Amino acid sequence: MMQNRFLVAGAAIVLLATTSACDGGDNPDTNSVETGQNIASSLSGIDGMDTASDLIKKAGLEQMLEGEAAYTLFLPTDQAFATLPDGELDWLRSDEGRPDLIALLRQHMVPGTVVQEDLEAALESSGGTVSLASLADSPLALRREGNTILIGSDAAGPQISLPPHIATNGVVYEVSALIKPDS
Amino acid sequence: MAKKGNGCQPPGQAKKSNRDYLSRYSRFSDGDWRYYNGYAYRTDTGSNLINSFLPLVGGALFGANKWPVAYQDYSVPQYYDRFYGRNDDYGYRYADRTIFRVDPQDQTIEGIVALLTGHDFGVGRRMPSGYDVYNVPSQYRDQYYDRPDAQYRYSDGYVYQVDPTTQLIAAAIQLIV
Repeated sequence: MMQNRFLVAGAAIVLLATTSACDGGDNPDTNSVETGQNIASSLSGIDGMDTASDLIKKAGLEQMLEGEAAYTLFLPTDQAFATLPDGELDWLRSDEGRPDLIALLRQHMVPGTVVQEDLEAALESSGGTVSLASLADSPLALRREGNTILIGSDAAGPQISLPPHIATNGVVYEVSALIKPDS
Repeated sequence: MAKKGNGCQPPGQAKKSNRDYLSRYSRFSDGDWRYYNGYAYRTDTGSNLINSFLPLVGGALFGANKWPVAYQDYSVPQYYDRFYGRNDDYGYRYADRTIFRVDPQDQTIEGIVALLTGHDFGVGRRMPSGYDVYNVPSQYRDQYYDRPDAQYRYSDGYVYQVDPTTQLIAAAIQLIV
């Protein structure tokens, strides 16, 4: 099935890009904090993200987040992880729980570089709600309420802290709660 | 199958290692999956025979484990070898929307190099939902920016040119030649 998908895309390839992936690039979002490092390295320098950073290492995703491909992460803060039920964090850190951890982290990641400026513009032009394809089974629905941007339809759902952190290979947003599968 | 612990023991006979999978976050959250040594499996309710047995990303499919024998033909296209692997000497394998780096000599999994959406893309097809926001990586933005007659969206190693009116994909652009 996947190979069919590759074939469909492969048959239609247009070799247009010549820009070197090592060229770097200007910060596309003037509101944001530019880390000057890749996502994996940036995480250890962001206050309040120790748990997320630790879980990404436990999930074996560091190599991916040091790589060429761009990702945007909506990562819960340490405070958000502290609200998990007793034992849940231990389960996620365990070897048996690692598949669950990776599935959980997939829900907090989207492909590409989604900067604040473009997110705000899309929310404005679409009437306050946008959909972002995630690396999990369903997309994330983001909506504006007043001055805040929330994920999902729950009034008490994850709230995005602005500005984000711009890494060389993507963006990291801090969020106030874990993103549920139906968000 | 998995080579850890009592790896020769059939899952149905394993006692201590078996548990309800109880995943809250994955496709294995529907209640009848169980976990054994890095695999998810479920049994037929009538016969109690195993009818599904899948290696889990982060379980059997994780660093230091051998790539499962039954998944030998899950190689990635050459473009992904170049884009995610930078044409190095490793092998790359795909399973469950994940690309793994594998030692070509002994088939040991070296790590996860990419998570993919797994969406279906193709020229002439409608762009999948979830691409409302411009997301082209920084180093390609000077080249691929939204215009009245074309939108550009990134996913799984490609930039897709999309007709803003019809949302049909006009081109799939490789980022590394």
